[in-house]
Amino acid sequence: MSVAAAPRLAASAGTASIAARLPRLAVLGVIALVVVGAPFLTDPVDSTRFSEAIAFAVIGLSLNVLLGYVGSISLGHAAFVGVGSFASAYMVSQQGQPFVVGVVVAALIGGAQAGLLGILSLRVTGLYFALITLAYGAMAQDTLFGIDSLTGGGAGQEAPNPFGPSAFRAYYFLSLAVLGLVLYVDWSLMRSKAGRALLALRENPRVAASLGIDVKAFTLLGFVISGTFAGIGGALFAHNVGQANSQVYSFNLTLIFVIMTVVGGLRNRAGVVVGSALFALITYVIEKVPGLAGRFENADSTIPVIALLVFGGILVNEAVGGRLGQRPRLAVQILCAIMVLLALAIIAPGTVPLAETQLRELPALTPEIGRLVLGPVLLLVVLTRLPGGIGQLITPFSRWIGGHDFEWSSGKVEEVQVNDVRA
Amino acid sequence: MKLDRTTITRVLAALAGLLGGAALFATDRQSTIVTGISASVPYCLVALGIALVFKATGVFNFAQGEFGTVAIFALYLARFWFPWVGYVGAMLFAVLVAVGFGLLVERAIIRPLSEAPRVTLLVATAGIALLSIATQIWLGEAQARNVEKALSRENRFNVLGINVSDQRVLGIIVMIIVVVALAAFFNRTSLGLAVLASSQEPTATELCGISVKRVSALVWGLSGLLGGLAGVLAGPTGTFTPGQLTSVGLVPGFTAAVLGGITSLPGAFLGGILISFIQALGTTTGSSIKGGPAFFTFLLLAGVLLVRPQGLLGGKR
Repeated sequence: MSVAAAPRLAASAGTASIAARLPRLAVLGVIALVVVGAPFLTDPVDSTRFSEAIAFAVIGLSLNVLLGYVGSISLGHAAFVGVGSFASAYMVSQQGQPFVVGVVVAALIGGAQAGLLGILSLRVTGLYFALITLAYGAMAQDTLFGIDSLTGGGAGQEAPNPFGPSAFRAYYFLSLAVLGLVLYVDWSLMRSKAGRALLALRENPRVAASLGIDVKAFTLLGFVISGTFAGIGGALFAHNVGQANSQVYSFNLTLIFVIMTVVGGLRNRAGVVVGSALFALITYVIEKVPGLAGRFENADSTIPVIALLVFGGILVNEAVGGRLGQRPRLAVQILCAIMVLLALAIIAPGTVPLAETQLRELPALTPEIGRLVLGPVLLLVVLTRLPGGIGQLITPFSRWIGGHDFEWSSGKVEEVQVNDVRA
Repeated sequence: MKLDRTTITRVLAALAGLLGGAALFATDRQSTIVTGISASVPYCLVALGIALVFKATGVFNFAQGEFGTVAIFALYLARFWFPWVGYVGAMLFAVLVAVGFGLLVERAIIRPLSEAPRVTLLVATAGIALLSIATQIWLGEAQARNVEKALSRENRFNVLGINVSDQRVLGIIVMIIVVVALAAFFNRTSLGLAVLASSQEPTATELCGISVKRVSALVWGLSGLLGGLAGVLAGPTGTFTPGQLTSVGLVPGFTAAVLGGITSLPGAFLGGILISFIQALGTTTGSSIKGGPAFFTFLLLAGVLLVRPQGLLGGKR
C-alpha cells in the first residue's frame, strides 16, 4: 500500500499557516477551474466527450473495486457496463420512466448480476475466474444483448439525454455530480470496517478469516459494489451517446477498461479517475490536435508524432527504470533509428528512399484506433516499468496539496498487484 | 497423460454423450455432427497452444488467438507481395511470422515479467492481443477479406450428405500429426522433460545446467507455431477480419483447454473437438437462442469449472 508505506506527516499539516497553504489552494483552484470550465471553453458538442470521460472514470472506479480491492480479475466488464446501459435505456425510452429511475435500476441490476458472478468466483478463483468472466462477456454481447424486445436489436435501444437532445453541458455537470457521489461512496467504503476487511482479505484471506472476517460475505460485497458502479457508469455512458448498442460492448472495450484501470494505478482513486478519463479523452486529443490523425500526406501528420511518443515513452521508461544517462540497449537504439528515418521520410520528402511511398499508402490513424494502439503500449510500460501507474505520478502532488511535504517517491509501488492470492 | 483404461473410458463416454446430445437436441443432426468434427481445427489448435503454454510456464496466454490471426494476415500479404514463392512458401512464411511473434512476445514481455504474479501476466498477454488487433485494424481496416485455400476442392468427401472440403481434411490431418508429435516431444525426448522440469522447479532445473530462459523461448516459439498452423489452416476456410482467431477461437479454445484439464495436450485436443460440437450445436439451434455458440460455451465452461475443475481428463489436483 502506497499511502501506508509513506511517512505520516498529517500532524504537521494542521499547523501550516495560511501563507504556506496559498500555493496549494491555488493549484487546487486551477484544477477545479479546468474541470468546471472545460465545457465553456469548448464547443458545446465537445461536452459529450468530457461526459464520456466522466462515465469512463466511474467505470474505472468500478473495476478498481474488483481488481484492486477484491483482487479478482474481470474480463467481462464491458458486459457489466452494458447491462447498466441497456437497463437504463429500456427504463427511460420503453417504460417512460425519468432518468433517475433508469440510473437506479441500472445500478440495481448491475449489482445483482455482479453478485451472481461473485457467487461463482467463490468457487472458481484466480485465473479460472478470468475465463468465466471472459465467456460471460462474449455470452452477454451475443445472447443477452441480442434479446430484441429489451435491447432494440441491431438498431440499439434509445437512451435520451434527460435535459433535452442538445443539453450537452448540463449533462456534463450531471455526470460530474454522479462521479462525485461514486467517489464519495468508494471513499467512505474504504474508510469503513468493510473496506479494511476487504484490504485484509486481499492481503491474506486465511489470516483475515482467523480474525473473524467473513471471507465470502465481503468478497460478494466487493462484487456487488463493483457491479453497481459499473451499472451507473453504463447508464451515464449510454445516455451520453444517446443509445445503447450491443456492438459497442465488445472484448476490445473490456480490455480498454482493464488497461485504463491498471494504467491509472490500482487502489489509487485519483490515479484511476485520471487514467480512465485520459483513455476516454485520447480520442478527443487525437482529433483536435492538428496532424495527429489522418493520412501521411504532408509534413504535419502521424508518424512524427508517433516518433515523438515513442521517444517520450522510451525516455520515461528509462527515467523510471533509473537508467537515464547510461547507453540504451541495442533494441532501443534500433527502434530509435527506425523512428528517426520514418520521421525524416515524412518531414523531408526524398531523403529516405523507399519508405516515402510506402508510408503514404498507409491508412489513416483514426482517433479510435489511436486509442486501441496506445492503450496496450501504455499498459505494457506500466506493467514492466511503472507499477503504480499514473497514480504513482499523481500521489506526490495530491499529498502536497493535502498539506504534506513534496516527496517524489511517496507514490511508489513495488509491483502491479492484480493478484488474486487465492489463485 | 497416459492412455490407460480409465482415460479411454472417459474419452469414449464423453464422445458418446456428445453424439447423443447432438442427436437429441440438434434440429439438423447430420450437419451438427459433421461440422462438429470438420470445423474443429481452429479450436483444437488454439486450445493446444493455450495448454502448452500453461503446462510449460503456468501462464494463461490470451494472445494465443492473435498468433493465428497474424499468420492469416502474413499468408494474405505473402500471396499479394511475393506470389512467386508459391502457396507452400507463403504458408511457411506465415508460420515463421507467427513463430517470430511468439518469440518477440516472450523476449519483450514475458521474460521481464517472469517474477510477476500470474494474473499480471494474464493482463499483459491480453494487452498484447489488443495491441495486435489494433494494429491490424489500423493497417488493414476492419473489413472482411478472403485468402485463397491451399486445396480448393469443396466436395472431396460426402459424409451423411454434408460436403467436407479438402482444406478441412488437410487441417484435421495436420492437427493429428501435431498432437502426436507434441505428445512424443513431452513423453520421449529429454528436451520435453527439460520443459516440464523448468515449469515445476525452475531453480533446480537451472542447477542441472538447463537454461530456463531458452526453454521459455522454445515454449513460446512452439505456441507461435501452433497459432501459425491454426491461422494458415483455418483462416482460408472463410473470410477473415482483424482479430479473427481471437474472436472466433479464444473463448472456445480456453474452454476446450479447461475441459481437457488445462495441462493435458491430448485433453486439449479432445476438448477442442467437443467445443466444436457445441459451437455447431449452438449454430443449428440459432433460431431459438440468439448467440447460441457463446451461450452454450459459457454454460459449459461455468459448469465444468464448478463441477469438475480438473477437467474431463485431468487427474486429481
